[in-house]
Amino acid sequence: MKKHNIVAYICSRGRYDTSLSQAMLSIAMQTRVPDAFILYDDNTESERRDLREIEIYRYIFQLFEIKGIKWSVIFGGAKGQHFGHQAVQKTATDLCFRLDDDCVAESDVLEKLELQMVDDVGAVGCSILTPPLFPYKNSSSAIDNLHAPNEQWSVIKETKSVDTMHCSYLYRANVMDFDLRLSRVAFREESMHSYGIKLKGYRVLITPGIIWHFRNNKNGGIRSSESEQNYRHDETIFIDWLKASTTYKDQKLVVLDAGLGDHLVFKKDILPRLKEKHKNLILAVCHPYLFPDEKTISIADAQRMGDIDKYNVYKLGVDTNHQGSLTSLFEKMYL
Amino acid sequence: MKTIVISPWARPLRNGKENAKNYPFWIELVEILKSNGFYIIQIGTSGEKPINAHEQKLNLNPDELEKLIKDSYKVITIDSYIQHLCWSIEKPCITIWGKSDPLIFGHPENINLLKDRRNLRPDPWRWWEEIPYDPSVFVSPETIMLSIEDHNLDKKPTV
Repeated sequence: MKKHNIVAYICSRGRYDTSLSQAMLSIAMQTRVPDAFILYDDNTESERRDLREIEIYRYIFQLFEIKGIKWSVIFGGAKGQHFGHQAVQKTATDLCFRLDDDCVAESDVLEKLELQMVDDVGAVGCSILTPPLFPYKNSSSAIDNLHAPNEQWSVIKETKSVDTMHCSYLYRANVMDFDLRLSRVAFREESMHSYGIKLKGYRVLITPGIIWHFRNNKNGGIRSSESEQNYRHDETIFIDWLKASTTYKDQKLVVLDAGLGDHLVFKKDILPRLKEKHKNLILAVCHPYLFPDEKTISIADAQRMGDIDKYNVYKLGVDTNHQGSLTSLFEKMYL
Repeated sequence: MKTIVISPWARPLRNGKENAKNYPFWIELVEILKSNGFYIIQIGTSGEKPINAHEQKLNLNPDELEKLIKDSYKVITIDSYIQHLCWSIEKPCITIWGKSDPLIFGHPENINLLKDRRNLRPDPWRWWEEIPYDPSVFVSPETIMLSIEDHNLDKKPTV
């Protein structure tokens, strides 16, 4: 019996005719076949093709079916791979294996990665190698040294704990959201996601195993046609997020980006019970004077920590068709 | 003379339309209250429509507002933060409801006056900008007057 349920997936754009089929094939050829495969097709509507009508893809889909891999396609809106990662992890109940669309995983990669995925591990990656191999010096996966050559660009000889993942890796679904504030280029998305998993108390590992990364920047790619401005935009979000996340590590965040009445209901009906559950609360509020005894920050500060839309109780009410009181909606969110 | 504090208006909508929470008969209600010997104070923020109260006290700070409410005989409000404030400081108020649901957003400690549950908006969590204004969904001034006369804090509230 399999220990985990694994959804393998690829976010892809502009690579129907180059590396996508190889990447998909390498998933089908894993010694530990995934339970499901999702192609997140981030091409625009005009670029989009029905892969079932293309012979090589038809074969690959048949291969998935022969091997018992449930496959499906999600069409994105060319908003960037982070939307794809988030959409896929929401469908997953256990583990996700993300593979770039210009990568080919050695057949034992998923088996090796899963082996490391014990209860306190949140993400695990392996070597991501681009020929010709280059002897990188001073490589690092530390969150505060992301400009150094990544440790995953070299042959990894032993399992070790790191801060961040690069490119393609296995991760525990829904521990950490992908930050949808990033631009379409989604620069730093995997650093934020994997380090976010680490901040939630899980180990993030690199382990021996090889994924070949046939970088093909000239032909398509999920980050193609992106401006320098988007990279700068994302770097700013990343730096702000990192600062805020490190500062407020181990604290339970509450966001009241709502009216005064909502603050009052939260304060009287929810806060006393929440304080019993969480010693370190931090309240992002519009009306801090209502909480003189609590640690408060501004909504703007909370936004620097990530997408705060998930803290919108009214959105939760709409999304869950909540039929009860405002108090019970707050309970649903925080208790 | 007994003072009744009225908080008549909801926050203006971003699309400039009338907020469907706003009670349409304040002028008539204030006349009835005055004729029954009450002193009426309108609270809110500057720029809001007057309701012919004896006095307006606008832009009060939180402490001033709380003191005014505590010192008053009764508070009448629409579904706004004032009804939550009264609840939180244990000064039950009379809340006038139209299309929002007192069972969701109200407090049983307050007197919640809702004309008919069939008027409630179908999706309670969405923006008010989407909700058309309809003065017919509110109780009459006479009903509110009756609730003031009956407003015994030991009684169970009516919805």
